[in-house]
Amino acid sequence: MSTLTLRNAAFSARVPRRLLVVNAVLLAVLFAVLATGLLGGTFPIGMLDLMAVLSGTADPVTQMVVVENRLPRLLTALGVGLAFGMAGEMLQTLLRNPLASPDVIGFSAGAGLGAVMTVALTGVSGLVLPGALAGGALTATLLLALVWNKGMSPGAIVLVGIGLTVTLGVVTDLMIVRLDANDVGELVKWIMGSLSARSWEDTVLVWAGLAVVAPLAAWHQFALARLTMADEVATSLGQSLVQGRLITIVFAVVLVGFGVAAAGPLPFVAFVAGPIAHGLSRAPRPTLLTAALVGALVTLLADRIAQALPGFFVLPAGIFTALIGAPVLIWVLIAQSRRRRR
Amino acid sequence: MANLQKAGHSVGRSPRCALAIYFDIWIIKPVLTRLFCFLSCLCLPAMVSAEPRLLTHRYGQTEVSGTPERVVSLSFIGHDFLLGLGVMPVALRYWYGDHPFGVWPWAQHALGDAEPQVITGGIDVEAVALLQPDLIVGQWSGMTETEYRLLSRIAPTLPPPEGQSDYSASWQQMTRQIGRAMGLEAQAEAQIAQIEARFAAIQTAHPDWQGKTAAAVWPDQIGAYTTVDLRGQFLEQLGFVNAPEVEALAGPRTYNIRLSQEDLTPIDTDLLLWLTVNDPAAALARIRLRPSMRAFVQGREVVADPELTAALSHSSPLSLSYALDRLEPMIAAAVDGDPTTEVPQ
Amino acid sequence: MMRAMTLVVVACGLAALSLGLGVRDVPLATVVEAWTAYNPDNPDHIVVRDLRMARAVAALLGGAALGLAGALMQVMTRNPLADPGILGINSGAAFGVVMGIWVLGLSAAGALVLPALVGAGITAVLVLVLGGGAGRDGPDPVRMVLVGAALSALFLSLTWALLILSRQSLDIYRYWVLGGFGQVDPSNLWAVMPLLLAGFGAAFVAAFMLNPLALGDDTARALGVRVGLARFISLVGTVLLCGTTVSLAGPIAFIGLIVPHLVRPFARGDVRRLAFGSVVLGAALAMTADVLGRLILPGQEIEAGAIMALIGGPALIVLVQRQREALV
Repeated sequence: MSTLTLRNAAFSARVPRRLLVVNAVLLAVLFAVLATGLLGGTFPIGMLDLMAVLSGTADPVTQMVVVENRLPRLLTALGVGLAFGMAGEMLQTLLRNPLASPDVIGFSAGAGLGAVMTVALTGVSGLVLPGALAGGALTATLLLALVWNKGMSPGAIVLVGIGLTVTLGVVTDLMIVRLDANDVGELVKWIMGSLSARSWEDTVLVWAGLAVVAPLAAWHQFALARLTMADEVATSLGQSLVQGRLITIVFAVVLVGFGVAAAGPLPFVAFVAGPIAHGLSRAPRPTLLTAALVGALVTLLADRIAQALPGFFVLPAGIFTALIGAPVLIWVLIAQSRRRRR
Repeated sequence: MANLQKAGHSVGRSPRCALAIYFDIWIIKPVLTRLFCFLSCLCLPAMVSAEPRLLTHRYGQTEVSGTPERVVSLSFIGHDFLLGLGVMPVALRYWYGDHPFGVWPWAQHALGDAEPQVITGGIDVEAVALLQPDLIVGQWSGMTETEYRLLSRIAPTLPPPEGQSDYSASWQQMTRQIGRAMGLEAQAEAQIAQIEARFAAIQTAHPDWQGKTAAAVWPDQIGAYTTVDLRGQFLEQLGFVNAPEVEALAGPRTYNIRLSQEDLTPIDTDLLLWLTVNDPAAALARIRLRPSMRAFVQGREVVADPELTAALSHSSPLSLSYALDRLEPMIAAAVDGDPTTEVPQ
Repeated sequence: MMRAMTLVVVACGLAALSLGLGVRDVPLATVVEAWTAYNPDNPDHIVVRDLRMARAVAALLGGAALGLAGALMQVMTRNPLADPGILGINSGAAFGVVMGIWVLGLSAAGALVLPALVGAGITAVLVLVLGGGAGRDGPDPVRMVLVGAALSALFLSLTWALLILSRQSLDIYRYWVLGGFGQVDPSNLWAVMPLLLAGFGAAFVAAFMLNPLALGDDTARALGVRVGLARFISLVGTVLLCGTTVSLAGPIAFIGLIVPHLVRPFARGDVRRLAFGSVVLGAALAMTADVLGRLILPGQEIEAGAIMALIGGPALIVLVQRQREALV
């Protein structure tokens, strides 16, 4: 594997070249998708309109479409995708298992349930974030408590997590039924996640979370890399196993909590980001940046497809994250096994 | 509620003979209704007010000036109200049914040749912006606060009235607000008064209905409506009391509660209105305990076919007019408790 | 053997008990009377004989079907995590049902069985093929579960898409998707009975054939087992069992996952014992969930599927605690 070495007086790093290329390509594609999100679209926005908005001379409707509709939606989608991608990659790497992503082992479901319950019990939508964070945190704690004495074996965590997801999902369904949410829109947001009509509050929410956690996670990824090695090796390298694992899980929970509070539990983004990133870059995990970028791309693409439907057929983006994510994942799996057979 | 009862009392003071009542219900009222609608449509230009109108609603206030020409209805039943006032929406929200443009038969004549855009699924703010509306109606649409904010930048937007949840506004509130927004207040008030008068007249004509219990039920899941919902309110406007046991089981914001197949006593009321969407006979046949209900044995059931059910669900002046025409004789035959009186279909 | 008989007795006992339990208060004497001196005008009798009996039969058969399907899947794929819910077969069947309602306009459960079977069949084939089942080494457990989760999410989204575009189906679906036996009609039961029995038949035939498979494909082949045929028959059996149960009672999770795990220690490696035990325990479990659902909230019912999920989660956790080896 050819690598690139960056070295200066105080700092030296080796980065596999393929990883760099993949990240660069992903960034470029992301920008392209963002651009198509901002320009064109159902309500045609051209470069001139954008200039007018920037200079403050646009008409109110164009202003609303660009500044209050598209920008928050695109930025929220971007932020949520980055957050989910990162969370997924961290957990999957820690537990050495592609199944162990936050949406599969119950963090998203817990966050969603926490959000639904706060809305149901208090009727105040401002408490959604704490509700989501609390729900995710409680689920993670439950999970850990249940598998603690087994030494947190990945298989145990995955199994218990799947169980928790289904149970929490049913409890959420029951709560929603009792809520009499007569409107599909509300239901969908909490079951499948939604990117339509996002406000700047949602955007700020998720980016605030990212701003806090992303740098910490980036710094933590070296510890995470050590944790992927055999326990004895990691310990001999001075890595505290318990602390390292706990920190990783905390980061994942926080990222997922912010993501769910902003856009609901978008299915599958955290699940597929890691395997796709790994399939593309074939670099040793964790590849946090790549996974984050893949997550963002999946989310944005889903949003674009949802917007590209004929103007009066409106479906939430959550449906499309699954519709994109599933086949891609299957394709990656097949490609991987074919490679293994060779 | 109080108004209705007062109106009923004042009308009931003058003695009428049965024949007059019959004549009134079967001939005069339907004709007058249609005549009134036609005339009020003709009078439309004369009744428009031009000053800006202020509307108070759930998210604050909206100001509408002039006469909105391009109206977009995001409310699932909003187009019914608009068409009743003679307004052709440029776009409407599709709810259900196989009818052209999603407009049910009682409103088709009001639609005429117009071909509005049909919106299916969720609310797309940009698609609405493209339509360049002057007014956006969304009192029964489930729009979120964010959607309201975005939409109100495009045009004055009507979310649910103050103090109401997404689908709990009454038809009077909705008619009044739309009328005010369109500058057709007088006409809207007249429509409301007319339908309320009809309800009142029916109450007077049928004193035996007053205080009796009634339930509007969905046979597929045995879901009974409460007074929070339009369909429960309909029964109460006829003078019935919505099934007390259902109300007891429901919470303060519950539209509909599901009952078990084993115990149908909450809906075994003096009048049982079955609301069917497809295949009424099959849906009813699946309810095993139905033959043992007093309502069945005494012929107290009214089975609303899909069109009548839709009229009750839409609950707009146009559809209520149609529903009352059809339902009054059916309910009269049902409530007498005599199984031999045929309930017309 | 003794344990199996005990379970059979328990299941039947619960079924009998369930005839006397429910939202409606029916005294024991009346329950007996419903059988000895049936009066078609007595609502209590109707409740016991038509509603509760059909429900008990559906719960027993449905639970047995799901338990057996789960056991078969776990053996066939050598994957201890296999379960119709996890592998997406339930979602495929559910999607089939929604398509049947929305696209074909069907409403009777007897008619909806067919789209459910098609949905379940397509998903099962996809999971097997994409999960590596077509390869020489047989299916890879982890990959199969991944593919199953992927397909499950896929069908779930498509189902939601249809529901959003057709709002009137949503109300019906919302309750149906919780999975329960409360809405089962005797006529529906009769309509799907032939397919259900065919599923049981195929599954047991496959169980007999799959016994040597535990030793590995090559050994099994050497012993004369027709591995491909065995897999095909178990696939057919699984699809029939899951598809019919889903069309009857909605997607119920966890029975197929938990039951084989509980039975396995007693089966001592014999697939036929596993199959039989799963049938009996599955029936007992579903029956318990159904009865519990009637008792927990006074005056209202909770669906069996919801109860299963609430029991299943913790039960799975307990299972995992007991297992010594890493399962994945």
